[in-house]
Amino acid sequence: MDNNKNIQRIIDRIEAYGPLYDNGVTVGKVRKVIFGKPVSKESIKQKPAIYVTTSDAIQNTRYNFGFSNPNTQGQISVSYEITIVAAVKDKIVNSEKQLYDILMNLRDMISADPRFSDPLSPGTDQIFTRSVINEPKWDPKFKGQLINSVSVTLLCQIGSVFTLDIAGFTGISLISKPIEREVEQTENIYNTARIREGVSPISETHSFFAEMEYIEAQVAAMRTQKRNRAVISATLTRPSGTTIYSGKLVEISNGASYDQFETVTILFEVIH
Amino acid sequence: MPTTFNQNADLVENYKGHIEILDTNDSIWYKPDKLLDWIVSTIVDTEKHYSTDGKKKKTITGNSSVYELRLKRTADLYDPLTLPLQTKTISYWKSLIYGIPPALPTITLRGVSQSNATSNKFVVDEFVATVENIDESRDEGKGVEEVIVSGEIISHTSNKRQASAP
Repeated sequence: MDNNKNIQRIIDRIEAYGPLYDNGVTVGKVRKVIFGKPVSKESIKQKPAIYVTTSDAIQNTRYNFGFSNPNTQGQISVSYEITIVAAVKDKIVNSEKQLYDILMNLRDMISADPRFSDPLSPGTDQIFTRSVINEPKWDPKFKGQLINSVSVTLLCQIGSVFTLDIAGFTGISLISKPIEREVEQTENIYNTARIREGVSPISETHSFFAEMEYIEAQVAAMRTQKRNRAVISATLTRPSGTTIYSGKLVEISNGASYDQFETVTILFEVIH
Repeated sequence: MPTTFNQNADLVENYKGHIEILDTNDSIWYKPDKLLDWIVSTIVDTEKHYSTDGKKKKTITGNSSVYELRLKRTADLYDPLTLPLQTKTISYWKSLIYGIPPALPTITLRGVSQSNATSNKFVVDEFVATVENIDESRDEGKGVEEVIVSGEIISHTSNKRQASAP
């Protein structure tokens, strides 16, 4: 986790996003993007400005205990604080409107590429697994003033991903860790004294569940594969390595809580 | 006031019992270790008469007693010789059944049960019986193949409670 690189990338993205920043040409657009926490919001001359720094809780692993193998660390959550400082010289309401415009464009910028790839080479060098804006908070000192300020928390996930290649799509990022079960059904073999002396194979099954964001093109392709009932290949990439499976898609289920984004869960039956 | 019997202290528990089959080729009693089921049914053949005033009378004419045992299939239930000699084996029984002329296989069996009683805890049922049905099966849902052998009891030696195992 490289906070210097990540903060600089956020800055680079903002400066590369036309609706948000044009180096002071257009009134109302962001004029300056600054690395670090604002010391004095009144003294910055080039407003509107955006400051980018880490949140007070820089990193949250949510693990109860440590790990012995770096590959098992998986993803971590990090938060960055993006502070917008808007200012007008005429009416207070215009300051608030300017702030809302900047906030809207900031959201649009993040939605366009939540993984924050290199703006000079879009789609490459993504620094985050996923990200979302949380908790925009007014700075109470400036609310209702000609200078207005809102701090936005950018919640990001960093680290190795669980991804799936299936149905012609590669690198599908999984939301939760895949649940995989490989089971041998056996018959217990007892002696005359009813002491179990052995187990004898009856049959075996192997399957995994995976959950991902609902993207129509991907789900449509998976439905086609499922309905074809064909044996297909799926590649599951975990932090510790990659496994290639051969089998059939047998279940596609989707749903989500009302205020959460829609997800889809698939069940893949592995054939050895 | 009746006297209680058939009590918990005298229970015959499954796991303590076994069966034995006599192989007359080497005169050894063999104990199958993978026995699943053992059933002995004592069935009486009767004639029924009615007197002129309607009273019923039954007379025993004989019996049609049968047994059945179910085992997990193992290789030693079979004889490696083309002309089998081990009389406890399925190979031997089939050689008689399919022989020309056919012969009815007979075997000597013991059911040995052990109870929780403090004395005379063993119950031994010994008889000679035919082998008239051999079902060898490989079932889906089971890990090991099974054999069911059954037939009719020809002569009954004894069925008594005794102090020690045979």
